[in-house]
Amino acid sequence: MKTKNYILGIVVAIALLSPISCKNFLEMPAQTGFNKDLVFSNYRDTEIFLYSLYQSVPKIMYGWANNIMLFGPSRVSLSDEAISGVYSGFTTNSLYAGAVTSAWFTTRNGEDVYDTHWKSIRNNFIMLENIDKVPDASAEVKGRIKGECQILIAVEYFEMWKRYGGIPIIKGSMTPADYEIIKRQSLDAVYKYIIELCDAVIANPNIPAKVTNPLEFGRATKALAYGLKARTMLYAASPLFNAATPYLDFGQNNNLICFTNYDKNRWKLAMDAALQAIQFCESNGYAIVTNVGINRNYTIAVQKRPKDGNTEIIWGTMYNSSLEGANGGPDYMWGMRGRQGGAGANTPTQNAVEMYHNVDGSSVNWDVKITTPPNQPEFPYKNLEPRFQQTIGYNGCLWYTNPNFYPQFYNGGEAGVANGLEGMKATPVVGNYSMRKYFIDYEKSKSGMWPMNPVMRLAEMYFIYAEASNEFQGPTSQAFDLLDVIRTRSGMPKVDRSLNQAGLRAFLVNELFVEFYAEDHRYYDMRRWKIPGVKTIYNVNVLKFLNNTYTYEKYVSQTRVWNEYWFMHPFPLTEITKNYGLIQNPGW
Amino acid sequence: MKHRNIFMKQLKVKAGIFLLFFGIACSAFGQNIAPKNGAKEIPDSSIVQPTSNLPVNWESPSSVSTVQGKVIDKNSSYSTGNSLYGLLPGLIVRQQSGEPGSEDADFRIRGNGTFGNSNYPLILVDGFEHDLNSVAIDDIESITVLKDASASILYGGRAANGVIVVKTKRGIQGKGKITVKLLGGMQSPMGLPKFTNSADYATMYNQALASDGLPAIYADTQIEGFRTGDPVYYPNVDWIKELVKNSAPAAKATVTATGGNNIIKYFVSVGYLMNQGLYDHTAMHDAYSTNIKSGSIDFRSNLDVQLTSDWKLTFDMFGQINDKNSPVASTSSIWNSLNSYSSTIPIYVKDALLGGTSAFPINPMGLINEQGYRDTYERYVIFNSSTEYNLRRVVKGLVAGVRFGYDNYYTVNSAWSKTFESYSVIGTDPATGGPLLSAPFGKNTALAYGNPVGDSQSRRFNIDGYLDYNTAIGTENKLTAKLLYHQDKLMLGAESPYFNESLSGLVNYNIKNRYMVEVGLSYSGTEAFKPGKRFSLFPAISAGWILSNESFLKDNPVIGFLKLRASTGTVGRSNIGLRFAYRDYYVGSGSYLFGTGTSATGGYTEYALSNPDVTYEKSNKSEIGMESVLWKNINFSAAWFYQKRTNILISQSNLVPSLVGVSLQDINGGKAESSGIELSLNINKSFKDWGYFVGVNYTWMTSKVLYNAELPVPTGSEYNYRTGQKISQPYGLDFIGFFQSAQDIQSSPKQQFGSVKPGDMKYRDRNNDGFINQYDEGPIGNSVLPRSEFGLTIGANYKGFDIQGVFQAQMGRDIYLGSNPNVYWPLVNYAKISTYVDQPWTDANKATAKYPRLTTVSNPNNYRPSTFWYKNADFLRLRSIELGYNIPSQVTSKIKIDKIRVFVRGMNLITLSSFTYGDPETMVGYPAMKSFNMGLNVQF
Repeated sequence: MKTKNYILGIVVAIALLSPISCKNFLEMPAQTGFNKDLVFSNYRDTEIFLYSLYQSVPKIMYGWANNIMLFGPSRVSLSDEAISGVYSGFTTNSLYAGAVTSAWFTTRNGEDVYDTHWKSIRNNFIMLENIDKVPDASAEVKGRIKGECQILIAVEYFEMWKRYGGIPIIKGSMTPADYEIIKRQSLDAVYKYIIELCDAVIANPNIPAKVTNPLEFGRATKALAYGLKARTMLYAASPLFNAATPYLDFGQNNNLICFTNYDKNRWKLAMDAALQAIQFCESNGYAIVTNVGINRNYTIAVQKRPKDGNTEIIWGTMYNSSLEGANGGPDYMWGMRGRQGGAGANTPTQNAVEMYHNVDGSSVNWDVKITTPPNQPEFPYKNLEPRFQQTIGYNGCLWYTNPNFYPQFYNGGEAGVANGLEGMKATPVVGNYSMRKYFIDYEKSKSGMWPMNPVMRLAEMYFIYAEASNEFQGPTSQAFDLLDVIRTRSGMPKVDRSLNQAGLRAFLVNELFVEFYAEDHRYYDMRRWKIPGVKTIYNVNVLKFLNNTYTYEKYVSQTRVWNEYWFMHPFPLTEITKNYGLIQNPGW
Repeated sequence: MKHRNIFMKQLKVKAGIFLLFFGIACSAFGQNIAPKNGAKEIPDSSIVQPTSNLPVNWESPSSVSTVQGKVIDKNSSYSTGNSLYGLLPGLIVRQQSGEPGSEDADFRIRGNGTFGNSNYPLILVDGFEHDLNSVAIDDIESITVLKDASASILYGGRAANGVIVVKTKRGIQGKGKITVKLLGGMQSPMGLPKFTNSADYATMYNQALASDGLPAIYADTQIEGFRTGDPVYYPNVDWIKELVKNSAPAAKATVTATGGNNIIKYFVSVGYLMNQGLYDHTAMHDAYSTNIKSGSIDFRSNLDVQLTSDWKLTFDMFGQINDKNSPVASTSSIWNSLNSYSSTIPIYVKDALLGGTSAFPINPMGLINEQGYRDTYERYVIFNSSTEYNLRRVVKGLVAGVRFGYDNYYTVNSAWSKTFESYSVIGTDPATGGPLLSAPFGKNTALAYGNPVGDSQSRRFNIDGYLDYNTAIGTENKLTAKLLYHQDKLMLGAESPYFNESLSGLVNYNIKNRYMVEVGLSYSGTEAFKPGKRFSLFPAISAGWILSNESFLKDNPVIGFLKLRASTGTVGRSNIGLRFAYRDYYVGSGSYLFGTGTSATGGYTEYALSNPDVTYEKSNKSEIGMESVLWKNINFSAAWFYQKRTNILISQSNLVPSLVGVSLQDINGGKAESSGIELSLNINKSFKDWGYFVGVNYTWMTSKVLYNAELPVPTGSEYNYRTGQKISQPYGLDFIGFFQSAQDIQSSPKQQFGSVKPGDMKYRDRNNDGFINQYDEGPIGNSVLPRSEFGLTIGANYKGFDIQGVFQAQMGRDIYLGSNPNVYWPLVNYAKISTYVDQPWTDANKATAKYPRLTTVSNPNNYRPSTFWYKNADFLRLRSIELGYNIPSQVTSKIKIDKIRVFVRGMNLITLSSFTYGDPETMVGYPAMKSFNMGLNVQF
């Protein structure tokens, strides 16, 4: 009996233990997650990976929710084009005040987020290194994707090169063990690398000149390679880089921030590249938008997609979600102050307004106080050119119709209909203007609004040609003719043919501001021209009187700091102190 | 996979060899001795005795503290965790919310040891990992805290934060005993804030506007109106007074039965707890209440079956069902609203129409009472069973057993919700003379059932196989050994299951009851790491010397017992918050829009680069201690402990260049150390009619971060580094006064947090760089975790009467007022002004102001961590006090009852704190409670 119990006990113990020891207890169950091999095992997933490569393409309008740029404002507010509100979280305010160091950039964002470039470059290299493994894609498709990756890498390099100068050159996806040998390369070496990548794409037979399937709009094309090459050459020829000595002496590292020689031929290269780009584009279906009327051509060219008639766009980048209603989205930051919760994070300055001329070529005298006739708040602006009317909202402009709505940008006026909910604090007033560009057709309701970031338009090639040829050989009729196309399509008179080289140069500074307002040109144009940042920002004080007249009086609304060493962006202090040999730019 | 199989084979081979040696060793030592009988039976009197005369662990050289269930019972609150304050040296218990059903206390064993993801100890109930809520207070036999490596080595890879071991009661052989316990009482909130009345609020709001350079919005007539008061036109609503009752009832009933014969022994208990919340006006709807009401019923049955003289089985079952009624709104939103909703908005504008504004349409009355109710259901089921066979016929002294446990926790909540209208008063209706109302905000809807949410389930399967061996060696020496194989599998919702597996052994060798050595080893594994890194070996060794058994101290009249002990060893933690970091994977990465439409396309992207080396966080613990019994009734013990944590997970982002272009998984790089001392003294004396006892324990602890890859800070700001400071050390600016004038601002270092005005806070420029920014932040004060803790248990009995109390004190702790901005940061985020706000800065009182100027706009300069917002919050609390009377047995025996005891018990009745405005522990949300209870225990 007892032996029986004993045996029974052993049996029970073994029975309880046996299910455990028979399997690999700690083995993780099969995962549903993806790895690299799975992604590149079929074209469908490879294509999905391709889409992610586009998520870090340059954009112009940033929001707060994105939380990746200036904590709300966009680059436009760093130049004299616009000003952002006094909300303390906007990092623009620290930049205006000059209260930034390289350490500051380790915890906050300037207009650039350094590591996102490297992430994008790495992902593009992963695609380049693995695309040939995909079994179910044709050589043509693979070739096209390779071209796209190369141009996207070139775009990232260009974006870093113009900010930081010479940077490490990497030619593959790295492991943490590789980076230690990577040092900054010369400005010239990076320049050559960008051109090499562009040339590779230009020589690639599989990448289309223009996206023919409208569903693929947004993908990189050969035209972008031509355009980027011209743009890079323009920067290379411009005074900041094309110089024997840099903006600040950097000793033996001068070659990281300039070419260490002045070569006039760089202007010729830029001129030729622009001409090639224009010829390539125009023989492949791109054209300046001139057929929708002087009050609309510009809007189509800068804001609309090809499906809406934009033939001029070389590369437009998009957002990944609707902007409607999302508090903190670009619409909120760019939106009309006081309306739909707009924050006025990017409010046009009086400086910007003064860049615009009347349609007859004359300009408004803002240095004296302007008093309007009764009930004509729009009086000072009414003759300003069509591009102005499509770009900036002002007191008394017709914001939308049915019913007609005229914003009241005067002291005591209501900026928007829904201003000042009870208990809500009004957004501090920074300027009596509002962004209109990119919001055309959506002033009343942002429903369905999908703005495009016009990162590169054919018009830019016209300007590169005009500027580079003027610098290389003085004004030419070809340059004037190209500029006239841009001017006349927006109802402006042709360029004065009597301008000399200096005169045309000054004209181009103004015209570039107007044509590319809020397209991220001004801030970097000023730097490449080695012109210090504008320190004095103006606003206009608008008062309404009982007799229904208005007065407009210009005043200094902000004084900004400018430092000579700001011509180049600092690397975040963290990167320097990781001690792998990264050299900080001078002054930072 | 292949690797894995080889590994498993190796493990089996190793285990086999281990077992073989174990068997040989056991049989070689031969003769069996009786089970250890060192500790005297603790006398079962109604007076609580914190210790017996000998320390419970007198034979072991490792570091443990134990408290018996009957001690806990006398201090018991309505939740298990809240019944442990001050009782166990080294166990830091921190009170949290007092919300019925959510009152979990927070535990630390000897403070914080890591800056990794968690410092929470491992809690084992009857050998397996469980939540402390899954034990009813009346089922607890004892709670033991395992503090050093040696004590916790059997749980090797899970034990780094220390272990709390809960044992439940088992049946006692003999005539069946039934005990009925009834407890009922009232509880009331502690430390509720008060807010200024509407008139003062309006005046101060105007003052704030003036300081911002903005025009006033409250006219004098309006302020006067608030002062006179009118519930509709000039309301002055004290929302807390309106909606929070002074007290709420709670009641508890437990029936336990125990008994058995030499074959079957049983312990069975059934308990019911009802605990109500504080919300008022919750009965206005006929069909339901919106008050919190937490009902909990639990059942336990622990059975021991002695099948043969050698074979024992146990069958334990535990079940608990918690059903909680509450308002639909979350507790945090309710208390946020109560503490911030303006007193100038009426409760009702007319009859049953609620007041509100377009921006704040939901007033607290509506929030609590007009949004319906929520029902939260929780269920625990635990089934444990074991079989143990005494192998004395094979090897004397050898016992083999298998324990098996399966548990299931499930929770779900469903809401019956509705919405309501609220109105603003916009004038007087000329027709009726009554208030003219705005259009309604919101909409009245009928109560509607929402789909259940928060549906979650966890299941754990545990199994232990063990061998226990004890034998005498020669006539004076003893050997005890334990071999434990453990594995468990936890399934949490959709997560990949969690596994633990370990093989551990512990050998204790005792020479003449004078010297003992304990050696332990644990080979622990987890699924979270790469094959090859999954298992880690943890060793521990300890030694003890009982001086009182040496001839020179034998029969010493003063020193009845004296033991010195020392231990060192390493235990680990696999639950470091990072699983499968050895794998590379690709994940969804948002989306991008192409083409013509408005729908974006999803993308894949590379996730963080893998780290194949991720492994256990390791804790090396060393300790020296002594235990003694003096003059027969004084127990004194002391210990010094030191712990070094290595392999704490740290981010690589501060180490690897951005150039690599991808984020990297964390690495085991961090290091920290912690140390402290622990003292405990118990005096226990009884005379003919009376007796008394005093128990004191004290723990002091400190810690230091030794390495954490930090962002570099500029030269001169080295104090900004967290490395070198205590774990969870708060950082902030040094407040040096208020700016007195524009000139003052001009001539001071530039403060970069936002524009400043006179009356704003001025900080010290620690690095003298002319700017005040985050690099001027240094270590300030202490964290909320105390630097030392003190527990005092005192009691006395006289004939049938007894009294006892438990005090707990925590010293060296600061609270951050910014963690409850509604109360301490006036007008921030539309907050009110609490009565804590004293003499805010104005031009008139600039020299004597005690608070920064009031402002209506965002002010990141003032409202950020600084010495101004850290306040010392040391406290001493009378956690419990109980006065009881046992009806003499001559009386009770006449009615055939063994014992009757009546008592009154108060919890948290007295608090002394250096921070007097609010509760020093529970700052935010539902308040902590004090309570007054009466109880009756009857034993048949």
